[in-house]
Amino acid sequence: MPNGSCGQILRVDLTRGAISVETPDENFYRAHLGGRGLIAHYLLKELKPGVDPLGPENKVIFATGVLTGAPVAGSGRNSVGAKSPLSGGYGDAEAGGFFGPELKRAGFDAVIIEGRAKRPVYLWVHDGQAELRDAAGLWGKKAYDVEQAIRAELGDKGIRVAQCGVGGENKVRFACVSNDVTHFYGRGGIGAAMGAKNLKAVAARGHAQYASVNAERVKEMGRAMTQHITENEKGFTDLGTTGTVVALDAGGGLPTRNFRDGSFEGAKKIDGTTMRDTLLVGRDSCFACAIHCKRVVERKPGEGRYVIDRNYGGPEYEALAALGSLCGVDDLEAVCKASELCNAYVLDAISTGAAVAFAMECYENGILTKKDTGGLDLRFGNGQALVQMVEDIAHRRGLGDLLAEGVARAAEKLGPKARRFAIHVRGQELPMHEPRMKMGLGIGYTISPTGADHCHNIHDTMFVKRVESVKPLGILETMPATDLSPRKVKTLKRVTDLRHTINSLGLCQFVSWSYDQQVELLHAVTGWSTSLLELSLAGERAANLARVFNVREGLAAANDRLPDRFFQGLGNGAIAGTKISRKLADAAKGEYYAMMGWDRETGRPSEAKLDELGIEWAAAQLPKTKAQAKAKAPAKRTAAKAKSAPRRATRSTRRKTA
Amino acid sequence: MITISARAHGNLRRHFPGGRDEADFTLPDGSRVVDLLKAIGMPDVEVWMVSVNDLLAKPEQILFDGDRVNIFAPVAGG
Repeated sequence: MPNGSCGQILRVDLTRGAISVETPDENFYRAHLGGRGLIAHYLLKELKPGVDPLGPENKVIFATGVLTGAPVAGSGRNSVGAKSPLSGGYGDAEAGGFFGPELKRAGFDAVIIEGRAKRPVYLWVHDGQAELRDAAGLWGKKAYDVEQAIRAELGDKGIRVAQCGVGGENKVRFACVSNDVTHFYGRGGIGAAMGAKNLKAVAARGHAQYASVNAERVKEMGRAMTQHITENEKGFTDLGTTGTVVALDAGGGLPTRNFRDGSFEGAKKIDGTTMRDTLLVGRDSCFACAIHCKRVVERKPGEGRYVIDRNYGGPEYEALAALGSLCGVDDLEAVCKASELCNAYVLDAISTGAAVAFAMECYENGILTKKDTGGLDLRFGNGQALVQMVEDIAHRRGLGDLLAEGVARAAEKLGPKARRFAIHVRGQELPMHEPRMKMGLGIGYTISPTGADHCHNIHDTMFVKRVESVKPLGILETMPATDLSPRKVKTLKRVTDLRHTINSLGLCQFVSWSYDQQVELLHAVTGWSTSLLELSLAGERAANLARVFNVREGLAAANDRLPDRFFQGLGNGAIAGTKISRKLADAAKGEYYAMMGWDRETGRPSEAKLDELGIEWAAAQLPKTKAQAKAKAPAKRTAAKAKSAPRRATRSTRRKTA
Repeated sequence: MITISARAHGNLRRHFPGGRDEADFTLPDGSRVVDLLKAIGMPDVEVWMVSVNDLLAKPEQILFDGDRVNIFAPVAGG
């Protein structure tokens, strides 16, 4: 077991009520690092192809990274994954907060949850022990009440709780998982997979100390980063990500009215500065971080048109845009109320806003009528209708029941005319970043293992004027945001590989750890003589495991495509009329496949690439190609590989019953 | 002389007096956007774009008394 890890993974079978512990060897941690890498390994290895994401055969995996809980800024990150109920493919999401470090203090690097409980339960993990407890009294409760009830029942205010929420109970396909009420594993609908298992929450408490080989150096690096943040990140502390609204609006890339437009006339009304000067009452943080980028907003009874509970934090950029400009809503109170409800019911605010925006465009085009909306005038800009729709989605009432399926499934039910308004990649609604402004990011949406995602992606605007931060990756020249040449694809490939890495390590992308510092930090914690190459390969390994998972599920290259809307001109704003060339986008996607060692046409990983990454066993998970199926006898190489397949990386050591 | 009201977005405010996000700057008549950035001491490579009176501006655009200038850093969101 390396320093930085507990060396223990908890396995919980909800069907049988059995709990066991596994102890992977050090090489397992070194190869996968935790987080996304660990989740991708287990989901590919242990799920049968084609299982129902909402069935007992799916598995929900909470995973910390090797650096989660280290005494440095940004180490609060950790992951949860499952086969995604939203995309039907590989799913995981990351969050900050305090749950991840606490899970480690309780003695476990990860928790694998399988089966389905007969009645609602929650998992209580504490100081190397674990037990399942009755959660019938928690079912149907809002997130803050659930956390308070668990802390009261167990008599410890220091307990950290991750939970699925009412949205997950109702199997809303974009229900997410939250921890500490205000930190969200947002994407992919993992909360629905959790709710389908009758698992309300995981509560953690522990007292083990995070161990490093060179603890003094880790502390030094932590102190230096905190000083850097204090001296240089005041703007980020002041506004968090919410100042992005006016910046993107000025550049013409603020997703507006379901991505029809790139500029919103109400942008200033919902921007972070306005929020700071009106509803903001506090700033919140994650474990060991001095940035405090999290928002806290409040409206007490009688202060406004809505009561807004500060216990649910406040919207960050993605929520402000998804529930604001994307729905054409410039009423900041309504946006904050909608955000509060998403947080209380534990819904992904991005997909929720996107689902409402989709419905609004359908309504304005006569595909939905007042008969469908229960009398709501669901035009763009109606903040009251937005708030109502969030309630209806969480409880699957009326039109909300259809929208709770996500825009892809909803459009299929509404018919061909609705499909053009369903803005998603592989079933996952787009985050709030305009591909016609950041074209490399658009390609990143299509090749993401989880469907459209902005966190394991590039933001082209960062490389227009300087590339100092990525020069260690061999990216030496600046490039326009609209560039889709091979040099942009190279940037996408190399930066994204290392995004997968930090999502495995448990580091936050908002803390400016350079690549060299990441290597040094990992070395100081584990003692490994590691390198940027090894870190990059770990990210690439995670991406390939997830890719094999998706290919196995039949999610082929044809699904890796942007919605038609982005091949048409933006409606307004500073870059009005800008569109993506379909030919260039297809070429860039093929180029990315080729750079990854995947088939340029089908996106299927090559055996050589899987060999290089040390995951030879994953090749056996790929469906047979037409040529393989036609062959009478198995190729010598395949037969030889089957014989020499490596042993399972983990071994069961002890078993206890709940 | 002209007086310009400027706002720095993101962490660009660290180049403004006292680290504030808003400040007025007095410049000679005929000054351009690029002159304002030089006067502030803001490196060009840190600036994604500049707007003057809510319209995107080029570095050579001439400024006038009372103009409102917004200076944006590249943004990723999240």
